Amino acid sequence: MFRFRKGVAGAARARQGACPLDPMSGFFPKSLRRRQLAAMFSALRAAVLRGHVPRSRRLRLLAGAGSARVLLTALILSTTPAMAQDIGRAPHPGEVEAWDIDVRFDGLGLPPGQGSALEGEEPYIRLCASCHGDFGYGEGRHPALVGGSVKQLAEHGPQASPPKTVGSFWPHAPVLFDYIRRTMPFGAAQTLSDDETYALTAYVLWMNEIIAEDAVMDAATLAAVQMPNRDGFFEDNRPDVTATACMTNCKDMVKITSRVQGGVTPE
Amino acid sequence: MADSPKDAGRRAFMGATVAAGAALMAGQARAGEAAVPEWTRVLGPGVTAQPYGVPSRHESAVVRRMVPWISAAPETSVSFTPLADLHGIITPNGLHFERHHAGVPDIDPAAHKLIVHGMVDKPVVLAAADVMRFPQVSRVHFIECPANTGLEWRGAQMERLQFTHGMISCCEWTGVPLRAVLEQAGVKPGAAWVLAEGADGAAMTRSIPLAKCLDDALLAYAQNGEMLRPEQGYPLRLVVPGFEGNMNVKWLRRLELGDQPWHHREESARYTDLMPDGRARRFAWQMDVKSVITSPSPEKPVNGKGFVEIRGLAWSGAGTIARVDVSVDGGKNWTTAQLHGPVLPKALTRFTLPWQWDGTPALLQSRAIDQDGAIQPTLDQLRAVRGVWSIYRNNGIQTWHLTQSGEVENVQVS
Repeated sequence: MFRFRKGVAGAARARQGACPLDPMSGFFPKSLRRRQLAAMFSALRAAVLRGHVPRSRRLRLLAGAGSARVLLTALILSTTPAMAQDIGRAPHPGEVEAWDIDVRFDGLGLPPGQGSALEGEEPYIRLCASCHGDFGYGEGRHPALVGGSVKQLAEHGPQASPPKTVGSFWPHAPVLFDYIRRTMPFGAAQTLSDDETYALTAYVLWMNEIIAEDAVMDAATLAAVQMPNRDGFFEDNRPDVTATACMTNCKDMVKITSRVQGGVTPE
Repeated sequence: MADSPKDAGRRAFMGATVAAGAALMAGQARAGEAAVPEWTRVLGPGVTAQPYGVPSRHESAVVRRMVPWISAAPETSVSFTPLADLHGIITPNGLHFERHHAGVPDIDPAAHKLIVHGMVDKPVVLAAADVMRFPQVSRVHFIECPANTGLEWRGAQMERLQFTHGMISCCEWTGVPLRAVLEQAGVKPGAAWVLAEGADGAAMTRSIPLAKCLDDALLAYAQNGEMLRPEQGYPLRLVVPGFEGNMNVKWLRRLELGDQPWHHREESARYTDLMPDGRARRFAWQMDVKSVITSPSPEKPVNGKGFVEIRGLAWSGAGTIARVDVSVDGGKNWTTAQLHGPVLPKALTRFTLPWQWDGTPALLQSRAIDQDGAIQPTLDQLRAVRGVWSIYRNNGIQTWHLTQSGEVENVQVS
């Protein structure tokens, strides 16, 4: 983009802010003062130290420090991502903590507090049952929290979907707390206290017969709960399906095996 | 209520047939054909009559639609893009499919912020306007819900393309490479995952591998030249090219770096693929190679035998589409279709094949192959390995049955 002439512009001339021999001299307002030049130089040095300038150029630039080409490069660099380093602000005290309320699968992030299923019954009936049902089986198309089993996940026919619920499918109990804490009740997210959240978590686990009704859930006990389907997952194993790109006479006959039955497609 | 596209298609189809017959019998211009049309004789509305333009009222049937019975409420549902009525590779902003878990939040951008924290040297709070100060890039990418075509696992179920394949859209996304933001914050050694969280009532979270975030993920604030639509994450969303739609977290408010995945609800209880042995596959992020013929299709019947341009779309989360083959006999024989540029990585790619239809029933299929040589499988090949209850990642070959009448039905074949 820019080609520099050899042997131009010593440090003294640069400090005066004019490079009459340089094709880009128009870039340098005569009013440039030492302080501004020093700031540009400092920015360049920072960029070099961060590794944003190729090694070969680093040597050349460092060797010619103070010359017009250095100043030019500093100007060019000041428009590259290398300089985009201080956008935004540091969080205020407590700002991150207020939002960082997620809980990891292993319980990292569980807050102080506690609750049992006995304590969870009242808020469950009041806040949850209208969608999830009195016994957790789900109202309408709302998700069931209870039902099925790990065994049923494998033993099912083509007609009925195996129930995937907290009891039969969810692998980690702390994630149930996380989900309730950050997203429930539906339409009134993040309005529950931590104790209520522990109690509701306990209630859902109790409905699934995973813990006793008087078992107190807190940061330690919830992380220790063993979910029935904890070993039910495996990592991405694709490609698991083999296909070919046959071009001619790929099969003898073709039959229609399935047609739309109708009645389920909206207008 | 908008017309059903099937009704509209059928009406146009019948109308054209009747008109052609009448003109043939008369052998001359029919009454009215020579008249100066109404719209030529009067002035139309002036500029800014529509300050933000809208499509012709004659296109009112080209809208997103939902399937009421697949979810509990519209706030936790999905709407489908009307693929049959779109052209090119860009989905108009008003027609990008939607998937929400707690409705569309009404976010004031001046009050929105993104916090980057966790295993970083310098946690940072970015206002939406701050994000726009970073060097800007624009890239065209599809976003596909992994449940796209999930209603077809057990057999042909939906009557139209909009519902078999409409959970995919493709836009030009403008924003900041996520890498630039993470580099400013300074990723600490040992960090390997990024938890992305939305500001909606579902506080949607997904764990994304750091390597992907540093590779090609975008912090996007615009789509197709304008700010994001509210239903697409205004004022800030993630675009994770080629990865399942759910990871492209909308209304993004928080990025937390950590050393392990979080295994949250949306990556364990949901968006995992149940296999016949009862175990479920997780972290299958990249969308597989896939294609579909958009015309002819149930929404685009064929008006008489003769020349038909078979048109469709192909895509792959791995990168570019290398080839698309088309069959008109249910997969016995295949012909390589023409790809139309731009052929972009992780973007919808158009293909066409000119065809002379002899008026007899045909079984139309397309089969895509991507840059890695991955070949789109048949539904039977998928079901042989995965059974029918995995819900997600159905990239099987679609079959359209073109009947003698020119109408098209969704079928599955041996």
